[in-house]
Amino acid sequence: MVHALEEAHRLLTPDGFLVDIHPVPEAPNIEVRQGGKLLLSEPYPAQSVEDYRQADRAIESAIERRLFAAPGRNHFDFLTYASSASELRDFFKKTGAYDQTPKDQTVEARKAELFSRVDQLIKSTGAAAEVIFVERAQVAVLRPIA
Amino acid sequence: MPIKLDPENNEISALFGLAKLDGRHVLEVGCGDGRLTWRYADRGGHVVAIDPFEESIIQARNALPQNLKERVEFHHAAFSDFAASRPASTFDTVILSWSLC
Repeated sequence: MVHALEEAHRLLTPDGFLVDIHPVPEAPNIEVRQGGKLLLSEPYPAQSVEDYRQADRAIESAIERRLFAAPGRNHFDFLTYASSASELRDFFKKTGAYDQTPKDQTVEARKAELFSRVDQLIKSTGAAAEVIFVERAQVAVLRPIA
Repeated sequence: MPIKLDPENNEISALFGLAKLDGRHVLEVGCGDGRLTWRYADRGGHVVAIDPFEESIIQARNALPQNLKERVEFHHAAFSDFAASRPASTFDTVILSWSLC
């Protein structure tokens, strides 16, 4: 991660800037809403947020080494909408197909249990509902120090 | 219902709240299928977007809107390899798009 920041610094013009976007190190949330009414809201059993902490530490290290000035930051919620937990799970499988991190079976079992409950809840409502994956993220803009 | 990603545009609003990309030469690292690229490319002067996964780059190229074809180029490349092939001070802006972690 630090190497990536060094490479970015080298590629930037002196008056340029680096934009880093990554999730904050906290568990995402799963929500079920129907017509704006919140039916369920639970933390998603994420395997680890350690990668996000390491990204934060890499940025802090680059600032301490005076590669970049202290950043301006904005936080936002990145929302992913699906019509069912199954659809969301399939999407995660597709987008995470390249992830080589070994799966923690306990976490995987908790995800499966949550997805099952969400789909049962949607079926029980008898009307269209949405599953929403809520991920808190940050944008940091860092200006290089020559 | 197809999956909808950030239909509120929270991500690009947070970015534009901090930085202007108008007319800048932008490198986006970890562009995936171009999901974020489309949301700012009409403001950037020229965008080079890279991703280490070829399938994503193929999707991005196939989905490239006609009006952006002169402005956006996609490359299948890892950042370290791409950076090694480019001289210093090449880009006005580098975006690490969910790729530092």
